Amino acid sequence: MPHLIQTISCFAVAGLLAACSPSTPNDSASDNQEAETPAVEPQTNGTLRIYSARHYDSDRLMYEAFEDQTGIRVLYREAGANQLLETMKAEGANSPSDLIIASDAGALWRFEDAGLTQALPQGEFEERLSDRLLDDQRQWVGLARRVRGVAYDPARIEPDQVDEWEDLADPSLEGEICVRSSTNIYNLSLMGEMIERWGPERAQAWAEGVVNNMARQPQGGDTQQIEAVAAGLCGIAITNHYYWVRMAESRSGSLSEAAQATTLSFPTFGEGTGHHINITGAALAANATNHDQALQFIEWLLSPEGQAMLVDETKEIPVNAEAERPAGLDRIPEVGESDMRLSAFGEHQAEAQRIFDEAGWN
Amino acid sequence: MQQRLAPRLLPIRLNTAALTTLAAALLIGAPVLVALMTGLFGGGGDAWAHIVSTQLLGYTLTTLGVLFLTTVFILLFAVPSAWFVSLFDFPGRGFFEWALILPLAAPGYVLAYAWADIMDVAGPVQSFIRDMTGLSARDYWFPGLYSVPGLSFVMACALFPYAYLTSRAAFSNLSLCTMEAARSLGASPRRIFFNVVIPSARPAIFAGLALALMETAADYGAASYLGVQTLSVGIFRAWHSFSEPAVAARLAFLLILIAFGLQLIERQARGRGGTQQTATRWRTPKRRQLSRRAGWLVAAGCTALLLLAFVFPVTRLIWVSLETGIGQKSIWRPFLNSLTLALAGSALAFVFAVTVVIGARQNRFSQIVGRLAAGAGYAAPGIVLALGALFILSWTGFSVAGPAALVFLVWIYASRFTAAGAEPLSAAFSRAPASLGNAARSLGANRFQRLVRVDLPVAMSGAAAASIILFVEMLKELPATLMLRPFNWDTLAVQAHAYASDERLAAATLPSLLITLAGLGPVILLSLQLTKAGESRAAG
Amino acid sequence: MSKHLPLKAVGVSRVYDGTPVVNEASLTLEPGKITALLGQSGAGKSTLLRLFAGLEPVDAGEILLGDRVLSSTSTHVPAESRSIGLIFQDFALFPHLNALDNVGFGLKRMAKEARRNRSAEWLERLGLSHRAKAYPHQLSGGEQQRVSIARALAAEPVAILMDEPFSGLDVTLKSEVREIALSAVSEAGIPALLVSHDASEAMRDADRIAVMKKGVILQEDTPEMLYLKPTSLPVARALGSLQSIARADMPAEWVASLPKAETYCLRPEAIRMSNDEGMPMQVVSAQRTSTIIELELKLNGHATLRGVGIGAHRPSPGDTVKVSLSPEFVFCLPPEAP
Repeated sequence: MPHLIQTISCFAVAGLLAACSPSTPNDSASDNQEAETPAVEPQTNGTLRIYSARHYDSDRLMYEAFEDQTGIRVLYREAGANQLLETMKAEGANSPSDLIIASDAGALWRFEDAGLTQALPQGEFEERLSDRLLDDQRQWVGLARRVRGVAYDPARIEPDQVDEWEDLADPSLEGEICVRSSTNIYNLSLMGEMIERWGPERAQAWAEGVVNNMARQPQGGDTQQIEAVAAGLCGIAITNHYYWVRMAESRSGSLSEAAQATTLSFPTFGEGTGHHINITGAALAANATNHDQALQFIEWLLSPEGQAMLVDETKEIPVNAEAERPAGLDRIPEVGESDMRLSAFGEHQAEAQRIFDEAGWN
Repeated sequence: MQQRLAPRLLPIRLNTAALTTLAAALLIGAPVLVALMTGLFGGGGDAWAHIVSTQLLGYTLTTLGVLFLTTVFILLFAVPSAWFVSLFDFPGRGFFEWALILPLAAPGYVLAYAWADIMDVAGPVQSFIRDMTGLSARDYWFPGLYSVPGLSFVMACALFPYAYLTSRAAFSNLSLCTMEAARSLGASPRRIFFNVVIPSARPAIFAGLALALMETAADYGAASYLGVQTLSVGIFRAWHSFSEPAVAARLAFLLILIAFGLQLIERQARGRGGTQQTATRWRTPKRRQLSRRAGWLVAAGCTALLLLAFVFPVTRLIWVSLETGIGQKSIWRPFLNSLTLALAGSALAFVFAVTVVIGARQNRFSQIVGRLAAGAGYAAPGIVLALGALFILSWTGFSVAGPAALVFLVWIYASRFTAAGAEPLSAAFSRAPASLGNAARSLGANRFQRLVRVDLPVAMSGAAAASIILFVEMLKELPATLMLRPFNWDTLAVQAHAYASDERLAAATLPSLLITLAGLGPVILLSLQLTKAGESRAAG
Repeated sequence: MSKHLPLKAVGVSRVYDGTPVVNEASLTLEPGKITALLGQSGAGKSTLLRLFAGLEPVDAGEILLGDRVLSSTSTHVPAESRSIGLIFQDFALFPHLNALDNVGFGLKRMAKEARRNRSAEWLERLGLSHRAKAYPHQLSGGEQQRVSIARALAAEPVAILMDEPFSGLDVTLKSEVREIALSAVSEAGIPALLVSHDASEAMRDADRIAVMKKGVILQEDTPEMLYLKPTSLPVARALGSLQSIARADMPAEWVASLPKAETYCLRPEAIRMSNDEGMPMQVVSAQRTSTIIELELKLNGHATLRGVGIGAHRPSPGDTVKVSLSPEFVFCLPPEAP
């Protein structure tokens, strides 16, 4: 018993010691420096502070590669887009953020709407982009593309039953659809495009039709919907393309089998229209103190090397045609261009949520 | 009579003591206070009206439903297992005695990831059923984990050890005499259990249960992953989707109210039970040997519980992790970050807890103030405290980027968990009679020496338990860390949550398993210590 | 042992909620003497002890060690600076320390080795060398109390205060522990206070006894003097049982040998059964306790008289025995104020 008490008190003392260490600024600063950027003198060319809504191991490698090449020290903070947004709002003028990276134009639009972004200055990067990928107000820029589509069970569903979004509302698909909650930004942006293209009445009718066709109440993420199709619970899963690619590429046998048991397809919004193509993008923070470094990072991300690192793990589609496409992307159908205004996704967000709510789409 | 009069000595000193407690209480309570004040006086009219009219009832009923079902599950899990482990002998008893505490190491959200995966349509259980029966996924009903019962089950798995621990202590402190008296009066074992044992153990069971339920009410990670719209999730949504921190803070009021209600019920139960044994020497009931069949049955029950609450989910995570290969990124940084933050936080919370507990022993004012502050911090979900801290940060003009955020984070941890540490500490202190302090005084020990040389060592078992519980809880803390961690300071919990909510369970497994692993050591230590203490008491 | 100073209370009072619990009490504890503070529970004994110890401040009067003021209304030396040893009914051993370390607790200023030796010495003096490594919960009650006495004395206190130290022990242990403990206390040559509610214990153990009632010290003297020359009825009652007999009920022969009074207070041993001569009286009941026979005798129509007897023969009710009176055990005291 006394021995145990001694052990425990040692433990408590260690705790007390540790309590003192993180509160010393120098300590923690040097700590970070050592751990994150071993290769070059990192502070020679300033610092870049990134708020990122992405969580990928490859992003760290990407930041490190950028640090190595430019000598700019990268500090990052990752959290959900909404959370970053609210954190920045609460921080107000104190916000240390220089650059915001977020997936989905709808999410970027929220930052813009909250006045947390500023117009990007002119730069070379524009030449590599199609016009659609730069916001009208230059508040954000697309870095990679993502397509929302369906993964269906080819044994139950014919390809022409899912070649247009409108088909999903058709009563013939009753009990076939698996989809995630409507609060998710992917669904909100999809609905945003429908409202923009079709107007709210038709969009609402579509939502109601889909709700009638659901195999179960919305639950889980896109991956779970694909798995549900593979397991036979439903015939069609609404999913972003990269979830399907990741599953197909997974080292887990069961996951990749599940993906390959389904067929990925990208519905259009009707004759002569494109797919629902969204972006991962970046925005310059309103209170950014390191403009040049932020811009340099955007330029780098749009270079073939940056593009490759950006999408390597995420399986998104690069926006720079010269960039190498990530492994597994060859499994998906050809994706064309879309002429849809990206800011429309955000502008219709509130209405999209209302329509979902009224249709009873949880 | 003398005890009642003791607080009257030396009014000046007592005022210092009261002031110390008041200062500690302010530090503990400030984040909640700030958040709640913002809730009261901040705007948010439209969104608030919208939430009140459309969501509030749903959030509240869902939360109450989860709390109710969790209570049922926890009582089913904890009380019978504690009863058999403390009073009967059966195969594997010694192992279960400490092993049943292990689930405490795994956070609720980690169990949620694992169980959701196990129970998924494509998961092992359902695949197995389909393979065996040849049915299709549409042909049978299967309980979904993405539901109120599912969440309750997961939370009960993660938190039942609290109630198990307190009921075990209560059962092994049962007076043999009362039980024998009951038997001599012709009561059946059944009647003894329900009419003698349960009533006298009720305060302890309630204490553990209340702790577990407060955790459940404040949980964000598991509820949001399983898509159950509890108040905590609602608070996040109010903040995120409606951009109304003030509304979020207002919703937090409700949550705090529920938590205080739980505390009230617990106190009430404690008051009615009122058979605390304080004698230094008591006889513990001798363990009865169960019959062979009953013994194996009980062992099977305990095994099943352990499998459900710990082994299955952890094994599943290990399996997924191995199947997909371990990620490329160094996990050491977040691991160290988690440890550092948890250690620093528990150290501060420990100091807070000691201050509050010592204060409570000295006068009524300190007792009330300290308890209120600690209780409020504990009842408020991490997000509310973090919200308060963010407001304070922006007023004071500190940058969230720098070390200030770390200090704030440690502060929030302490503010959140002081109550969890104060509880076992105060129990330990109350075991020391007042004459100990007087004896030490007569031997020339001053106030501080008495604390260090007598009070703390006497309360050591409680103090050790307190610091371990604090450490493990902070290791698992998610929402506040999510909001306040500075640049490049991801913790394991944050990573696990980020990956899991990004539908990359495989990537989430490693941090999840590491949190569990880091918590496992302390929990085993705690478990062994508590078990040993029980035995030495039984022997002495 | 002349270096030891007396510990004095001079007119000390302690008031709780307007009620004096200790009321202008004066008491001197002489070095090398054990003074018992005798009284019923609630008499203020423990409070007076706490005032001596400095656990509570005085509301009036002074506590002095020699000429040095320890407590007064303006000064208060805290308990931890008084170096006054305390012994409690519940032993108050530190549960986290073994016997040896408990004894060493007050020797903080000594080097580790010296402290250990001193503690071991004291344990030996109290016959506990073999239990040095034992923790309190492993010790019997008697052993615990001896450790606590060793702990108090090892710290070389200027005085020692014991609050019902033996009442937590069972009878067989009591005498053994008491003997060892009190001889150690006497040898220390310091003032000692023994708070007790048991008159026989106080008379056996103490050199002097102070009788306390309702916060007031009624009388302080040697046990012998108190027993034989109580100045008031409460004191007389506190020291032993007493019966009041009206003068009119007393046999005339006995009254002649007593001073003049309305009523007489008699100790039981004032009336003794004798074999040869004395007044014949009828036995109502006779009960043998261990050493003596307690008698109840018929005095006249309505009164009975208690007496004692020694011998092999126990009379039966209805027998007539001869009894004699010892006037030194008869007191003429004013009746108690209501």
